[in-house]
Parts: sequence; structure tokens; C-alpha cells
Amino acid sequence: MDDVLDAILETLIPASADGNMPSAGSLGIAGDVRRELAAFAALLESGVAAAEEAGFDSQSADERANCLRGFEATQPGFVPTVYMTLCTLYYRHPQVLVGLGLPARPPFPEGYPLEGGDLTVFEAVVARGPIFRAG
Amino acid sequence: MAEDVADVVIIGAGAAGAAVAWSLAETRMRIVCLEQGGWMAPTDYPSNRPDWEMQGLGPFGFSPNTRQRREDYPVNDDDSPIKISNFNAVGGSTILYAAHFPRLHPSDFRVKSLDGVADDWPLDYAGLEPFYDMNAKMMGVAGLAGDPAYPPKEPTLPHVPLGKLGDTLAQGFDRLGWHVWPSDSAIATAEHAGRAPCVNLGPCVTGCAQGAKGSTDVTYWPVAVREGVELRTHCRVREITVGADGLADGVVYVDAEGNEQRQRAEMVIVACNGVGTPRLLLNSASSQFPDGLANRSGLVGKNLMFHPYALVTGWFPERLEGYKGPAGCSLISQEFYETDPAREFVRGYSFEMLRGDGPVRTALQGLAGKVPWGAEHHAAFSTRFDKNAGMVIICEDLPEEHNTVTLDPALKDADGIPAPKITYRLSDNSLKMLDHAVARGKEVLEAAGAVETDALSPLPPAGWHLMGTARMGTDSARSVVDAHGQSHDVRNLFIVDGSIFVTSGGVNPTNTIQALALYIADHIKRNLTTLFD
Repeated sequence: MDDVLDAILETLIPASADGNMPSAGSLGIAGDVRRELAAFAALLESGVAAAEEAGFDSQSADERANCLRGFEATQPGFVPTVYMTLCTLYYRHPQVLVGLGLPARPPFPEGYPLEGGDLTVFEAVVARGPIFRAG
Repeated sequence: MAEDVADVVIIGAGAAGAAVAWSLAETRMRIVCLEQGGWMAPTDYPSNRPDWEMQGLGPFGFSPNTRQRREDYPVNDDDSPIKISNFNAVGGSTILYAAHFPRLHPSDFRVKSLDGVADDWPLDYAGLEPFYDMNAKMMGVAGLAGDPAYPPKEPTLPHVPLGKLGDTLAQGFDRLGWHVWPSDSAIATAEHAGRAPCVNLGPCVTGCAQGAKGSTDVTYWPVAVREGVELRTHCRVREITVGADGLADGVVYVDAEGNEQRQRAEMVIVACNGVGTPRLLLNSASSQFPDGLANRSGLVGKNLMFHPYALVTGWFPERLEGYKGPAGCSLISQEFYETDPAREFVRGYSFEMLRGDGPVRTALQGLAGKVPWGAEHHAAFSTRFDKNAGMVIICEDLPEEHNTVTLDPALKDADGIPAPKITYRLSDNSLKMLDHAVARGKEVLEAAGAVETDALSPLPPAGWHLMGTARMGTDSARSVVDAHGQSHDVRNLFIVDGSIFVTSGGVNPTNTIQALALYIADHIKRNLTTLFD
């Protein structure tokens, strides 16, 4: 079943054309999706079963996309629910972060270097004089 | 055995409770502070974790109703377009605040005299200024001297770095000839009083793992505890009790084990802010005070002020590195802060610039058609990720008696104590101000180079600033406490938090809350022998 779910994930977020961003189906996160959607297990499994029944694993990318579009009527809520959850998992995956040009780590402890900024822009603000009213 | 009597009981260990405890500690009085939350562990903050963005939408979210920690109390805010945001812990809401740290303007204390609305405060900017300065040192305020929106003031630390995002937005203001300035921020941009310097983690609003943000658990409290203040955590005060002489004689609270306890005291100081304070006073009704403690004016819980917020976002053609740096602190503009008779509203507002979103939030915010699934996903995502910048607009909210905190007839916290109910309407003045501000916000973002803008007004989850529900004043019929935070009705009861604000100004209130707490503590120290006369 995870093969079918991986194929669904890949259809929702395929690899980017330039190859910098991996497909969601290649990241091995189908189990995480199931865990995150434990409260919606019936919805998830119903959709996966319907995809399998439709021959999802032998379809082309376009056919798979059309199949999922058809789910709007036959499996209401399946695609938006899986897509939203997938976004929360995909965009914290180390491979994805690297693809975005970010370090593959949480913010702490390293943080980020940041430039102080161009303070010359404030010279004109000072030149216009005080803007507060006396109390 | 004689009953334990403290000299002072402080209720609440947040922004104000910490400041007043620290200030009073030098008297060597026996001071006990009761806090319904506990100490936070920096290792628990989301920026330690790969799922840090999601944590801010759940266990570290702003709403006590969605967090549902035992330390939180529920708030019925169904009858308000603005929802309550707070946090209950040592440090209070400073744990989650952005640490944007502006002062009120001199004119904010003279609203009635200058603009003919609301009321003047019973003190002025000059009177509070020394305590703003004192607070800046204790909290570690970063900024840039010379801001022409204020009388001269000296920041303690170098300003928060602006980065490419800040530079881009500043240029937009410059092109329009509008005021903009690096924000005063309670963030240690250099090592300060044992706090490590900021490393630009980004999500300050889910707690600072670095300890650089000035939350009071890392500023005032370590010093106050070292000076002898006893801080009892996981202790939720149910009511303040009053003796036959009409003075407060202590509090009843529920301890960490769920047992009811009593702490007697010679003086009670309430620091629970604009919702918690009226809730406690109303829960402390007695035969002597049937309408709630210290409520002979009938104004406890009335005149609730938020700051009506709007969020204006722009998308730019280039990446802005907006995921770096304090999320809520870079620049402030007060171009439209002071009243202008040519406008359709009185008073004014601030723009405060925001950094950009991380990748998860970018994707989630694009779910409504902007970042579709399928073959177009990456192309759409790349037009949005790290290309957004924007601002929140903080409008002054004028006091209106129909905006209230009352006790909900059914809702209770985990200890069975009645919970607060919020009733609030946005005024016509606020709505006109929001419209004006959103239009100007879009204008400046476009001047900065934004190719697309969007706005959310009013911003529902923006009830961070809770003010006015136990207002200060010289007339006991028109106010709850006097010019020194002392109850008109109960002379050994003081209030030191946002509830005593007379008006709200158009800036974040924490700096003023703490300056007021220090000012009141100073008055207490100077007048100890005659305080209750």
C-alpha cells in the first residue's frame, strides 16, 4: 500500500524540472503521512484503495493527476487533506531544505548570519525633523 | 503556630510581576509571587526541532484555547472579532512575544487634551521616562539612537540587523518620504547581563532557545530570586480575600498538587494583565465587594482595549532572506502615528515590519490556490518562498465601556475557577483607521518593489495586547486605581499591568507595562510608612 501512497505523494509534489527538488514519493515519508493522519485513517485508506483499484501504479503521470482530480467527486477531502499534511512533512525534509538553498537543520543552535543593513536611508528621516507631538 | 504572613504577595510572574518583584526586592520585605505556570525549558522551544514551523501552530500557538495546557485558562472570545493571545509561565506572555519594544509617545498620555477623545493619563511621559530607561537596561533593549518619532532616548544595545529584507522595505519608505526606523527590540544583540547574543534564529514568537530575547524568565526573575523573592510556580490564585477592615489580607490559591492553600499578606499586587486581572477581581467578590473586588466604580472589566491589527504582505521578485532574523523586529514606521485632522479618524497607528515565512508556512499559506499540487507546484512555490515581506499595522484602540471582560457563566479552568468572557466590537474609528493603514501599507510595499500585495484586516488572532480593564485615574468614580496603581477602594491592593492603561497608544505595550510597574514599585518604596493612610 505504501507504493501506491508514494505514487500519490509523487503526483502531488513531483520532482522539479531542474532536478533540484526531489519528488515527495522518493523521500520515504509515506509512513510519516500515515502517522500524521492517524485521526483520518479511514479517509486515507479509502483514497489509497481507490487509487490502487484505478490501476494507479501503472498509469502515466498525467493519468495519475487526472485520477486524483476525479477524487474530488468520489473521495471528497482526500486530496486536500493529504496534500496539506504532505506540505508540512516535505518542506522540513533535509533533502528539500538543501534544494531550497537552506541548511538542513532546525534554526537552533547555529542560527543565521545577517547583515546589519544600510543605515544611510535613515539620514533623510532625521533631516525631516521630529514628528512627535509634545505631551 | 502563627499563620504565615508575607509582606507582599504578587500575583503573576509575567512582564509586570517580574519588574515589580525585582524593584521591591531591595526593600528586603518578604515577597512571595504566585504564578499559575512553570519555568520554561529553552530546550523545549520549537527552534530546536525540524518541525519548528508546525509547533508554532500547535503547542506553542498564541491561543490558550488551542494550546489547552493545564497552566492555561480558557477564554470565551466567541463574541469578539479579535481573539485572545497570551501565555502562562514564568515570564508570562513575554515567552511568546516578538519583543518589539517601543515606548508610548508623549502625546499618548494627553489624548483628551490634545484630541478631545478618551481621557488623559494621570501621569505623563516625563514622569515615566526614568522607568523606561531603567527597564531598557534590565530587558536589554536594542535600537538606534536618534529616532525623530520620539524624544531622545539611548538604546542599551546595537540595533537588530536589518538584512536584505529590511533594506528593501526601508527603501520603500524612503521613496515615499515616510518615517521609518530600526525597531527598539528587547533582544540582546550583544552579550548582555549573562544572556547570549541573538543568532537570528527567526521564530522568536515560539520562545527563544538562545535566551537572547528579553523574556522576564531570563531578565528580571533570576535577579529577583537571587535577591530573595520567593517564586512559587503552578499556583493559581482563586481569589483575593478582604478582612473586616476592608483591606486585602491575602489570597486563596490552588497549588501544583491541586490543593487549596492560603497565603496571608500585608499587601497584594496584581499583575495578571488586561484579562486575568479583571477576572481575578470579579472572582473575588464578597459581601463587602458584591460586584467584584475594588469595583465600586463599576469599571473593573470595562473599557477593554486591544490593538486592532491588520497584516499587509507583499511578494517581491527576488529572495529576501526573510527566514533569518527576529520575526517581528526589524523596522517601525510612525508616519501616521499622531492625529491629523485631515483624516477621517483620530489618533493613529504604527507599521511594524515582519520577516518572511519559512518553507512550511509558505506552502500552507499557498494552499488556497496559490501553490497547487501537481506539475505546477514547484514553479508556484518558487514565486512565493522567501519572496514575501510585510508588516503588521497596530492601530490605537480607544476605550469604550461596552468592550468588556466578564465571568463566563459556564466556562471554568482546570481548577474549577470561572473563566473570562470577552465582549468586544471594533469601533467606527478603528475601522476607518484600518482601511487607511492597509491602503498605505500596500502603497509602501509597492514602492519597495512588491509585485503583488495582499491584506488581512482586521487580523483575528491578534489579541496580544490586553489593556484598560482596571484603568488609572484621579477620580474614584471613573477609575479603578489611582496614579500609582493603588486601588481607590482597597488601599493595600495595587495593580501594575496593562489593565491600568487609560488609553492604548498605537504601539506594543510591554515596555510601558513594565515601566509602569517600576514606577509604581518606586512609589511604594518611597512611601512605605504612609502607604495605606
